Amino acid sequence: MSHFVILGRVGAHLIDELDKVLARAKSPGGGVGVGVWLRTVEVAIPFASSDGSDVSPTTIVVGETPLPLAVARELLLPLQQAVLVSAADVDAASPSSRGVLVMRVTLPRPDSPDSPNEPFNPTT
Amino acid sequence: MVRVADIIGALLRGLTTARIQSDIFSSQASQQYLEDPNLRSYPVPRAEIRQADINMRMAVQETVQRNVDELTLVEQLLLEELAEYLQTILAISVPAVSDPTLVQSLSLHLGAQQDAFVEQVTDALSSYVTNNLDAVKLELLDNPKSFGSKTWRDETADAVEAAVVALAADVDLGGVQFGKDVQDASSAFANKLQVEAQLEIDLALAAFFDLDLAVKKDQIITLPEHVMSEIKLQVTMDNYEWSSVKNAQGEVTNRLTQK
Repeated sequence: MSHFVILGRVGAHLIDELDKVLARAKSPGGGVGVGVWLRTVEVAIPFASSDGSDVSPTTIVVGETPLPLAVARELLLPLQQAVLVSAADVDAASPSSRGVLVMRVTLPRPDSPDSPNEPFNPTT
Repeated sequence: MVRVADIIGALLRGLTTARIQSDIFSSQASQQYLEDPNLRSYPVPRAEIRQADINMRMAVQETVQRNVDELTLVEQLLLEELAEYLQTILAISVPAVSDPTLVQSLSLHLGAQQDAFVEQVTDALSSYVTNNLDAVKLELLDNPKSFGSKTWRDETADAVEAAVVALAADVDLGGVQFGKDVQDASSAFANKLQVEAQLEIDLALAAFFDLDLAVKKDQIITLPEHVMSEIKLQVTMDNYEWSSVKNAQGEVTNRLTQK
């Protein structure tokens, strides 16, 4: 069995990863395509309570409609349940101790080409 | 390790590459259409990706713990709790050397010297913790009973005796009861600290981790539905084209502008 993690931190970790994608998109040679706008991301990640207790509600939704990253981070803070998220642990857990964290976020549009600091706006 | 950012980044890169390849193909096709008298009157085909909805299935293979500085966590906790611990030591009743019938708390014996006493004992115990952190952490977490009833008791008794001698305080620490009371206080301290330190470490481990994802077909094809994670992306492709503008000095600058 893996070490348990905090459910809200699972969501925050996913937001951290999206922040990395945004940072790469801004950096020259970051490898994320020019002109590609990742508008919304919806993640559904199953989990199991770390102590085998029943999970209720079984689906925890952060963002019925997509939320800005900062707002989603705030809403994740109260989710302090200790959970297991690896596939093996979730599979081994009883059905009643399983749940799903669903998170929907919107991401900002990349800087406009008119912006003076536009990184992917080379001039010749 | 495969992370979420790696997967999404690769997909976005793939979309850009697909668009470039599509444009290159269209460019080549337009040349062929120009050169072929039969095709010349037909519109040149051009595929354009304006928006993409992508659904990916994956599984969390493992939660990978990031390094948690357990030593620093234990050290901070111990040092934070020292002040409260010393209050229990100061509450221990001992006789005066000059009058063995005068039995009262250490703090009453010390009177105005109490602050100096606390400072000296705190310094001694802090130094011991800092200089023996590996051993302290190991024994505190694995065997709090031994730590409290022996190691920490002895360090406390030595620090208290040294401070009393340095301050020439009128207290007799030679009685059996004093040793027993110190042991009771240090045992309770160790038991409490062990629980708190373990909780702090567990919470730190729970907060700092990476998710290692399984994304390849052979990794996930046999997994049951209830363990599968899903990521849905909605992506818009902005097209840019070169435009030329003149600045105030009349110099021509080429800029990429959104189409």
